[in-house]
Amino acid sequence: MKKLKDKSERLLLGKIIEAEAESGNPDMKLVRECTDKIEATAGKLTDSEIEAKLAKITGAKKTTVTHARFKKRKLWVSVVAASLAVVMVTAAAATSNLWGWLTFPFTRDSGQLTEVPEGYVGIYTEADLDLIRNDPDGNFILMADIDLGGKEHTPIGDYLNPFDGMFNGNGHVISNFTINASGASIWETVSGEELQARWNAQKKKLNSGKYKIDVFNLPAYSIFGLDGRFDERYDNKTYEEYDMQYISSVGFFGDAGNATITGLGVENATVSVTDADYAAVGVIAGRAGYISACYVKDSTVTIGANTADVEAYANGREMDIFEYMMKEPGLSIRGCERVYSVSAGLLAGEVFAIDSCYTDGTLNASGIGSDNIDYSTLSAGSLAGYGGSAVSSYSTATVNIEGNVFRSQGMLGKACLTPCIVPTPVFETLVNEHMSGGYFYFYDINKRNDKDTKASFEKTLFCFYYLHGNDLEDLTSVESYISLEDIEYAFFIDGDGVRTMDSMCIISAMSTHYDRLQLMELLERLGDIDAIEQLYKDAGMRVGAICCYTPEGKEKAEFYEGFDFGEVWTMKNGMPVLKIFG
Amino acid sequence: MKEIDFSAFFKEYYPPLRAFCVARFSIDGYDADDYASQAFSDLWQTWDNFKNSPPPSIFSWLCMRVKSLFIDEYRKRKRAPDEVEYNEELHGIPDIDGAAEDESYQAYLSEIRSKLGERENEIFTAMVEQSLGIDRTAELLGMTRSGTLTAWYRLRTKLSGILKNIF
Repeated sequence: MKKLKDKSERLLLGKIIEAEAESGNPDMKLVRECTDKIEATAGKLTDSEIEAKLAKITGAKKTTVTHARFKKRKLWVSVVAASLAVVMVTAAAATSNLWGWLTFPFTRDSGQLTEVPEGYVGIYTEADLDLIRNDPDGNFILMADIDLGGKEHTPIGDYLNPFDGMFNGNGHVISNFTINASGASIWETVSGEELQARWNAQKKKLNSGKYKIDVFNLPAYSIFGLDGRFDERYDNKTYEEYDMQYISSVGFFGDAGNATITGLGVENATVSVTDADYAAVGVIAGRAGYISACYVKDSTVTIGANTADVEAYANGREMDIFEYMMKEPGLSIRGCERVYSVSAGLLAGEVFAIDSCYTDGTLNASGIGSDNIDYSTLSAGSLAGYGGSAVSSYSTATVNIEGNVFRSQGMLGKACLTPCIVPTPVFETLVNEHMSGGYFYFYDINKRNDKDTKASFEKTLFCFYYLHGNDLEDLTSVESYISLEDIEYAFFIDGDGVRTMDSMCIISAMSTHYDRLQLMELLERLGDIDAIEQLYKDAGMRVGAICCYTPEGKEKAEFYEGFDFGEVWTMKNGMPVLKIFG
Repeated sequence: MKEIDFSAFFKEYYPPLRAFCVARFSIDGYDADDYASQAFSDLWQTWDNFKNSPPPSIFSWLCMRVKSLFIDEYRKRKRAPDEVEYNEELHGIPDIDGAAEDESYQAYLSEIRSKLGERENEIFTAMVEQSLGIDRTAELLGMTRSGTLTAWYRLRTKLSGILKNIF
């Protein structure tokens, strides 16, 4: 009877794995769970047996098969296999998940590279850092530790020339530097033509195919004080001048919103920022795309957020920023109440994703809002102030935060539930859920007729899509799923091909004011957070702080679920350390 | 997308693929090794096409590949057993769904079904018991593909919890 039950169990487990495989995006945790149970009755292979099988397969010539049983297989099997491969490669590209994006090959390198790999520029000295400033789209690799001797460091990459490349720290350390900066947002008045040119340049850059990460693809600026809108919906009018407000990004890298930074250690750094009203502050970067296998220790970040100081009235009525950005044409706006939005972390102020990192040090953040307090936020995290995901990381840093505004802290001071990169299956799930249940409530500009009263949020069918890698297959899948007759607003970022006039007003207004994380945070704030979070979890997405720890009392590797102690981490004196740093 | 190292991928995914063969085809570990090895051999020959794909998707492909190999051999044997050109002895490959008719297995399924809701039972029957896959399940139940996927994602989470209780 016991044997029969084993057989039943095994069959069911096999069918579950098969169903998972059929879905195209199997949950490997579930599969491994099933595998353990099957192996318990069917026997488990030893490591040496697996090695032997691997050697047999990889040592075989292309036409050689591995077992006598298959020696007589016909050629068509190979043809079918090749066809299947093509089909599955297409499917695989469409079923990438966030975890896949987070785990980089170099994270798993077991040691430092001693030669500069092809396509990279080696950084050996402090002077070489200027090479990065001169080629902000390049790929760089650190080939030696750099001690900056306590010097004042100017962040690499700013709002006009962000670092968008790859920086591989290669297991080396940059140490002893100080940054003293203003966190006040940067204001600039630009002509309508200039704004349009920047917008087009940004789109062109993103559509070049080079920016595979594609995270903060929109410039971190907002437009204030414009008399009219940058809006193609009504009259395609271009206005003469725009007041631009840029985020102040402070860190070793300043604005590196599209960059990947990996294998870098930073020690004994002091970052101090005052008068911050729209800022992202961190030791490694103010803003970054991906940070993996990095650490920060013995470092301090101090940030003071500044109070709002601009009165805002429209037609004699106080307005908030969001309303301002969505105002009707012709509405006279003289100004807007200025709020502050500050994100600070030991790794970075804002970052899309963190993988296998740790921090130690202190972060002190304080902010005071105005009396009629608004949307000012102060987000401080021991890893990052604001981010999409942090996985397999830990922190021993101390975070002190105070102020009379909205505050948040933790590993990620504020986590944006929605990953910026949404794989196609998840996108399909989201669309399906949105269209059937309407999770999101969105500000419907078409239904707002009374210009002098607060607009109400009306339930609107709404969807969004982040196109990653400029993948035309994905774009096609979007088009097949979206019928503008069925929804009121289609929300597309990155692609030029599927935007509609109806959606343009929202895209332009939102994208000029909010960067991606902020945009998603707004959407989540307007929707049912619990339902959205569950939806993402059901879809197998990894968002928020996952497998992140404060290591107190966790002196053994088994306490760190999710950490790869084979290739990425190792235990040293009861603490996990990154292997690449030796 | 990152480039995957075949060796690392093999070491991580060979055991679950072998376990899948053991469980799904009701065969022993030696036979399962044959199918899993062949599937990985096929994968190795076209690895350039796969190395930038997410590993779980490649695993999906491998599962479909071993299933295809198994069915291919089984049909061949059923159709013309005397003409099968194997050098080795024929293994007792059972009817691929034969074990599902076993009384104990059905009782076991009933135990699981009792913990599922009505819609979940439908999805379970189509996806797990009948192995119809997403597209056919969606068609059968009159759902969209994405809706079926969502339902399956939810069901598998629940199943995972149920299995822990049962085993």
